[in-house]
Amino acid sequence: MKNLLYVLTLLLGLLILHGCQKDEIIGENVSDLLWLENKGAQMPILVEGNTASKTFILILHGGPGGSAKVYNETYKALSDPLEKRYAVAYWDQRQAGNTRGHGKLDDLNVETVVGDLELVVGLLRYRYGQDISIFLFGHSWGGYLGNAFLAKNENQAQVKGWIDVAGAHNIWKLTVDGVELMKTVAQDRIDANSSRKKSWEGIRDFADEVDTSVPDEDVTLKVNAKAQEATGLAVSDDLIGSHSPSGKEFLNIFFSDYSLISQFTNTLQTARSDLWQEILDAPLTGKLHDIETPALLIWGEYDFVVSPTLGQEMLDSLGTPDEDKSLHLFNNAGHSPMDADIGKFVDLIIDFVEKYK
Amino acid sequence: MYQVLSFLVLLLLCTVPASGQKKRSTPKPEFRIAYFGDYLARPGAKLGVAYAFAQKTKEKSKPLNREENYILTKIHRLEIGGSFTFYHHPGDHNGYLFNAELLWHRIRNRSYKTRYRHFEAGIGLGYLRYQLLGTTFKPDGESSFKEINGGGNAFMPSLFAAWGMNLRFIKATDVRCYVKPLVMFEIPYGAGARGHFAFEAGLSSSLTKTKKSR
Repeated sequence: MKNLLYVLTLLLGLLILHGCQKDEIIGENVSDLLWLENKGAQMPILVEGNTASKTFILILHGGPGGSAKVYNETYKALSDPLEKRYAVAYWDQRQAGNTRGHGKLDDLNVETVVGDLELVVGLLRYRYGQDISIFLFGHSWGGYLGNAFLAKNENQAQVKGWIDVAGAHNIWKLTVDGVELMKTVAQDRIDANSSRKKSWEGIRDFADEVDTSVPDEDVTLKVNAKAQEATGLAVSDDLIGSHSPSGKEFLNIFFSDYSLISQFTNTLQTARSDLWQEILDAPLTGKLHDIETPALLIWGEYDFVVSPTLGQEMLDSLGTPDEDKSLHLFNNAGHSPMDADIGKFVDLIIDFVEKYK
Repeated sequence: MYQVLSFLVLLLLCTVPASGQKKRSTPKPEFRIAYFGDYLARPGAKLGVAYAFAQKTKEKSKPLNREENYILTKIHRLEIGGSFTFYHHPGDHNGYLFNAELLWHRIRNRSYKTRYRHFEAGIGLGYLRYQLLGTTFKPDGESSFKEINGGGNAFMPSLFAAWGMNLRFIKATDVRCYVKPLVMFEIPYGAGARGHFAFEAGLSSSLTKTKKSR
């Protein structure tokens, strides 16, 4: 019994020591965990990779209510090559991912989240130097957030480039266009005698019947759920490439710093907020011409969630000079284009960052 | 919420003197040491003590052979306990959990061959102090930040059940091993509450010399 106590005390001491040790923050293989406390929320920002490069890619995750760490723990083929060249900052937004604290639902609005993002950008400069280059990488809702940030005041002067992956800058347009895409693809699959013909008929019937004449929150949520279902069918029919985490990546869900339960809890709370209604009522299409930041836009051809027509709208509307913006459509892809061809996806990002850093 | 919490704390405190009169024997406090895994895999350790404030014993004599009998024993106890738990969530936080527990404990042997088996079920009222790992910053004016001691507090009630059995290979004292799944609720967590599933596996002993029971 005595020996057991000694061993446990020793283990406890080692754990505490491990937690207290100070690591270098500038290097080629850094892991630096920061927390930003603002308006009651304690938001983690995990900076990993080559901070000596002075080039930072800041991840704006999807959702709202998703997690940035997903792109680190379950997409090693994406995060590893980027971290080798640059530093990647995985920021979990308020009421999302592993964020803790006593944040209020009333503070979950575009103004506060954009304010958080301004602070995160400021904190990266404060921590690593004012001369670092920052690139934003926004996926889905992260696309809305990035555009809202860039369109505000002088924020775009803070970043060197904007990587928008299936960004949701206009919720009603993505709903209406998503329905049209589902209609077209479902009919094609029915005509092609897909083995899941019956399910595709369900998608087509839904798309035919849903009323998209007036913007409505319930309609957007129903269409979003159906779009996820259509994505699953498209994966089964091999229209869309899918990402299956490797064994280690799967274990990361349970054993890494990423917490599935935290994310689930935060997502449930986000669903109770008015954020979705707010972004539905405030499309950003009219503000895109104010953004002149170099932009890399990546979309999936079969993105039922955020239709590729939004990518085209962004390309046409951004104030960025033509030579500094481009849209890349992945043929065999849905809402996460990286799932279809992660090598090509990473190459596009590296080429873009190298050009504008 | 605070009214419910106050009521439960009062209930826990009131049960001690009231039930003291029901005691038949004087049970010794039991000390516990255990591995604690928040979501199984966030490792930690737990130290605790439990004290029976009410006990009811039923004994039944059964023939072992023509000359001898053996006794089947069934004990029901109400116990109050306290514990301290430390766990480590890598890359996130360290948790320090102080817990008061109220539990029902049943001990029985089914035949003269079997060792004592234990079952417990109860509730806990906990206070969680979490300490964020890494460096925490708070905005401090225009483009400036100050480093702060990142962490927070939460109320952490729990529900649990435990199964255990006495160890035969330790003769000098009564030692039992047990496993104990717990469901805990961290309140507040963001704008709501968060569920924790935890698992405890450890040893429990009153640290008194064993009497021959059969």
